[in-house]
Amino acid sequence: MSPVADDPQAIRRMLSNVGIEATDTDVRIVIAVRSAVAEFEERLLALDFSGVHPEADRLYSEPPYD
Amino acid sequence: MIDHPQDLSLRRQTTYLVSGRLDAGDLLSATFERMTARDEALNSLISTFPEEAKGMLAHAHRALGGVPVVIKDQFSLPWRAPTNGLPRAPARYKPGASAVFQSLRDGGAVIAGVTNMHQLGFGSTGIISAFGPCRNPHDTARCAGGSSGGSAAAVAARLTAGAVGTDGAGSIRIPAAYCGVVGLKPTFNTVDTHGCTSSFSSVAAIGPLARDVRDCRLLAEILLRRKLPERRGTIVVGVVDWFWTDLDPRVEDVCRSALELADSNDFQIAKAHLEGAELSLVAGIVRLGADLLSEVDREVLEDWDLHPVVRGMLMAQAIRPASILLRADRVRSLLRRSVVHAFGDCDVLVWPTVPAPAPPIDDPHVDLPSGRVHSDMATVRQAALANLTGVPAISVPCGSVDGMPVGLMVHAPWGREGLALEAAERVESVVGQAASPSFDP
Repeated sequence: MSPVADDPQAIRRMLSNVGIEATDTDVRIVIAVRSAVAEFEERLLALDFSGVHPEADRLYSEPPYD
Repeated sequence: MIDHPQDLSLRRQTTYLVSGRLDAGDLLSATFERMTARDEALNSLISTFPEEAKGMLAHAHRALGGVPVVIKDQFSLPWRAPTNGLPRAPARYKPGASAVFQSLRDGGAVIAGVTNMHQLGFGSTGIISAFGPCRNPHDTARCAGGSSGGSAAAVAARLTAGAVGTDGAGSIRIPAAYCGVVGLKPTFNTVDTHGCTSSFSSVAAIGPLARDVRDCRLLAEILLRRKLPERRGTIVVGVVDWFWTDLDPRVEDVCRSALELADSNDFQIAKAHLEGAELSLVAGIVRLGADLLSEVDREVLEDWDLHPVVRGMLMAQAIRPASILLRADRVRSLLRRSVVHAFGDCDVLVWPTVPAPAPPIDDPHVDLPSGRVHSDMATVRQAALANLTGVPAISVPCGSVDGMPVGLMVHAPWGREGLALEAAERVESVVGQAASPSFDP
């Protein structure tokens, strides 16, 4: 699993680093959730966004065509 | 001969109320009686308001004439803070007059109750809730969908003729399709989110659910506080191949048949291309997860009796690398550009709302050509594009598979809810409304 290993201790440490004390059940579910989306996330990480777009990127609420 | 006033459409109830043929107090009493009789099997409602609703009848002289509706558990009411599918309301959710409350009151609707929902809106099945799973009126062993599952189930079961939900990744449209009702996600930020638990979301929108498109339009106009123009003439319907793949073949047949039938009703079918369409699922999951995490207080995450799956999903989001979120937002920009280009060649984009009928509550997976997947992944794949791009989208019933309804989803350009409704009405006019679920007398 990318970008971090599918390792309960590593997951527990990462959660602890953001101030969350996780139970064993939490860690198991987090790993399951990460597994379910890992393939899709890897596809995102493989994308190349370099280059110049003819239109400015708009990320939020404005319609890009008003 | 109508046996019960809740078997009338919302607009017919309104007409009868305004003309005096139906008394608003009598309608309200009949509504609560029906809720008592039918909802034990469904669990679509978590709270009803006999006294407060009577108080709202003071405004019944306005447009809707005192029609009872129900709303999702995400809106502040003067007498109640929302719980968002949690066991109790977090401290920052307060009672008050949310914008949805004000719009409904000003429009002459009466809020009769609050509907069950998937906890925090973080799922499309409606199974995970502090109040227990919401059941589908067409088969109570199957899920009603989510996260606005209670709103869809209540309308399908004719507890009320209209309901309000929210939609961050299909949460109005998915349960609407599963339950055989119409559900509209309006353009992002066009319905005021004041007093809604997802008011900071960059993807969620508040919208109506009703039994047919004209009722949905009526309730949408109350929420949007403006008339929605009707469209005449040919509508060019764009079909995007990606969203017509990996479907239960029976659902695909039903949806294609509906579209072919509608083709004779001033529709012109055309191929459409959406660059990045295959990335909308992951971009939707990542962006919705980040939005939801931002709405959850640390105390709720750590100390509350959250459902373990929801808690785990939030924790997974908390350690998701920022690089993934940034890339998801770049995909979102790509999709916005793609949608603009697609609408240059067609008026609306249409594909199946759900790839399979509502799954069983005790095993919420669906079997698709690509394999067996959790229904959340399968439904969000179809729904997320409208949330990421902000455009309006509506699900309209278009048939059934083994007695379970399925829906066709119509997307329109930004701000063109009227066009989406018109296209949906043309589909409805050729396939008819979903059959009403049966209840014991």
